[in-house]
Amino acid sequence: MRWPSEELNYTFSWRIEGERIFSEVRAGGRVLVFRHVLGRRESTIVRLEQELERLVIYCSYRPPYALRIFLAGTRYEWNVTAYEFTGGVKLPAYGVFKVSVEVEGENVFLKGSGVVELRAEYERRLLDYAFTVLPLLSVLASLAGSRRKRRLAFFSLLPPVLLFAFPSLVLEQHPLWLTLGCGFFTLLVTYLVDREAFSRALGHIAILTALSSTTVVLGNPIVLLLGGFGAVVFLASAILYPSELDKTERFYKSTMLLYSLGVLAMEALNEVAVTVASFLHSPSTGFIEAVRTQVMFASNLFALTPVIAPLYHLARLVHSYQRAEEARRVLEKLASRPKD
Amino acid sequence: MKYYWLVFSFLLLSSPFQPTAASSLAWTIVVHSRVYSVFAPFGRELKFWASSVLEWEVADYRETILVYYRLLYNAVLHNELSSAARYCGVLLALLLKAKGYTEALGYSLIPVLESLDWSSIRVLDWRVEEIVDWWLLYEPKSLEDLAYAYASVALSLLEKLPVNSFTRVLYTPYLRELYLASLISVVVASTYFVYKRAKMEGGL
Repeated sequence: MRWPSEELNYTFSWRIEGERIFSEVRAGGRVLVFRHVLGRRESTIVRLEQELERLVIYCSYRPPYALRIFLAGTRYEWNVTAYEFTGGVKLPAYGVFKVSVEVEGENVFLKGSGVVELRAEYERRLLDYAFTVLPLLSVLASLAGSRRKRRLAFFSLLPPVLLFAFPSLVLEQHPLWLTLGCGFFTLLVTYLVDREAFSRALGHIAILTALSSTTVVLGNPIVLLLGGFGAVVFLASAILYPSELDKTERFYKSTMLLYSLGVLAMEALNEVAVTVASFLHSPSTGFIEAVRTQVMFASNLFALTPVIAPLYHLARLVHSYQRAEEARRVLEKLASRPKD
Repeated sequence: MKYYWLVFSFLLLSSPFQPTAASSLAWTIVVHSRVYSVFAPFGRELKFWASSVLEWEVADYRETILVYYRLLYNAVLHNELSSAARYCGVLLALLLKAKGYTEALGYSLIPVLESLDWSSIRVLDWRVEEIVDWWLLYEPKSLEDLAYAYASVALSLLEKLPVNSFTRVLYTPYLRELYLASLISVVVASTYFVYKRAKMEGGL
């Protein structure tokens, strides 16, 4: 039994075996053997570089050796057999981390540590910000019907251009306010600059603003997708049958306004129905969901408006023109018949 | 048959992912925030990343937390909800780790956090940098105080995320392109009608 702080007699010796030094301490019947590694002023530089979604490691040292890197709770290891080493790993994390590196070769062990900053990549496409200029498209409608195009374009686009000097101000706004603001501003500028253009474009700017606002309020892009389908069919009708342009335009305006406002009204009805349902007999989640489903069926009728109405209009025009063609042929035949 | 159970139990116990107190704390915050509906299907991923953060050796908590907040914001905006859950888990666990969190502390913090009066938690209307700075300098007086401050800071950060479905739709590939195409077709149709009318009326 030995006690702490008890003094013992000891012997110390050392020897060289090959390239290694061994030392021994003998005390109290125990032997402690130390194997020494020859320490030289060895060093290497390990460089870490961040590329898109990966971390690249560069190291130059006499091979062979094992390179170990500890970063963000992950251990990476390579057995390197070349003087120049380049390795890549998927970025383990982002931020500022402590990193430690070990190089272990034959009789050599190097260790170092440092701090690495892994920045988040911001890959932004221009299309991501396209929605900020979308409400400005209504300006095109007023420009198409105006003689004073330059003046109208200048006054319409001046505030948005100024706003782009402060993009964070635009991005922080809810898209609803952006859409409504641009719609009313376009109407105001058109009214002040060109009254004639205002009377022509009023309905169309109202349609664009109403459709965009409804989409934003409901948080549902399907509203505008269906509106877009209807607009294409109406446009085709107008191009194919230019003599019916007046009727097509009126039908287009009334359909789109009815559709956007109808969907909005139905959504309000949906909310009211759900609120009222909770006051009715035995309100449960299932009951309220049933009421909501019933109201949604009614709402879906409005959703069909921009699909059914232009198709019906186009079909009617095709049918009328076929009948007119037949009538023309009959009249021509009658006209060419010799008189008795 | 019992051997199957043994193998199954062994696999379960030797699984690298063991839910931690940090992941439970992070998930409790998410459940009480308005991003819950967005992250509900990705709970396991969020918890896994919250647990793995405990092994990280972070050198600068402020920068790392801010980087993860920006990553989270972008991922939610682009509707990449799986990545967003990962970043959310990391962010919430980093907030804890920045205050010298240990798992021992976590197990005593869980019941305190669960018994909080969530309606009384103050959502800070500050900039993200200000919220993070405040949290890093904050010195809690008790475990309950720490739980309140953590809930307040975490909910304030999550509150600022763009979870509005319309905003996310606008940044979601394909849906966004369809949306743009529809809007442009409506504009083209309206412009055509106005142009033709102006020509007929001799306004051009």
